[in-house]
Amino acid sequence: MFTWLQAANDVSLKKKARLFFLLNFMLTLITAAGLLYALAYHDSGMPKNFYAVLCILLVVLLSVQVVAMVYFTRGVIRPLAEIQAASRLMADGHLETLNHVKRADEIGSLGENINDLAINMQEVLLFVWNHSQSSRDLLENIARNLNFSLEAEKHSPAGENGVRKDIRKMHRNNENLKSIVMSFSYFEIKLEDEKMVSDYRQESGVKIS
Amino acid sequence: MSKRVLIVDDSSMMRKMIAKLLQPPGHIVVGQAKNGLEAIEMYKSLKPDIVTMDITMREMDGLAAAKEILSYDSSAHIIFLSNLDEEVYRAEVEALGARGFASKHKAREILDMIEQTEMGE
Repeated sequence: MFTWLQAANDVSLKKKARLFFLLNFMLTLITAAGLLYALAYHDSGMPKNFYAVLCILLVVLLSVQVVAMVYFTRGVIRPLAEIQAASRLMADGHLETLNHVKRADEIGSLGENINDLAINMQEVLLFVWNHSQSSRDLLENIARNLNFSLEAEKHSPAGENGVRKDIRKMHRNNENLKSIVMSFSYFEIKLEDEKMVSDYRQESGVKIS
Repeated sequence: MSKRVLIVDDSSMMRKMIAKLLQPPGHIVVGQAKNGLEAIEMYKSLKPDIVTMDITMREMDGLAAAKEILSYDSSAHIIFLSNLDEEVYRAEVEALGARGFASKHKAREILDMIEQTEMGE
């Protein structure tokens, strides 16, 4: 039983919901049919109205189930699928993505929280970028004062002394950090040619540079 | 002199950092807004001395929000904060007549700008 429950966690929510509502529907129909048959078979002088009321109740019950299924599909499963797709894009580095699910319940809160994660991630990465740029400038200054070029050779020449080797290593680490930052895409900001530029588009679609 | 500050930024982490920055000098954070729309509502209800306004925000950006706030209260003190250089937004910031522009990554600059703002201007 426990294994079945664990296995159920791996089935999609859509399939589980459909199965649940279908089972409910069938059980309601079977119960109603059974009840009507039993009452008709053991007719103990029940007024005809009684059967009419039972049928109306049955129709109401089945309608409520159909409405509940439609709401659950549109109001729970679909928004969750949208949040799933958006959060996948964010996890893949597209930080300009936004969950557009606007509601005050737990699903809305989930969407907002994931948006906040992406926004904070952008802030941290741009912070890292700015500081990496400052570090690069400082390292280039130090290299210039020590009369060597950081760009001239990618790796330390053989026999190079400790300080220069360390500075080159710091420069390489810095560049690696920047390339990680550049592998993301950002909301209204682009990183190109070693610069952080605005990707803000006015309503007319014109870029401000 | 301590100032009553409304912090506007879509990043909760950035809002926390600015609030932390304002604590030691004794400034009071009267509210925190996560986009331009919230900023306008909170400005009207809280009437802060200063607003630190992020420019790049979802829903409504800082420039649009500042425009609304300044049309409601032309004496509002708004300090724009951005990851980008001032040059990018210079034209818009000057057109709005906002009080200042500081880099998000230069804490000292932000504090100096807040402390230099003269009230009653």
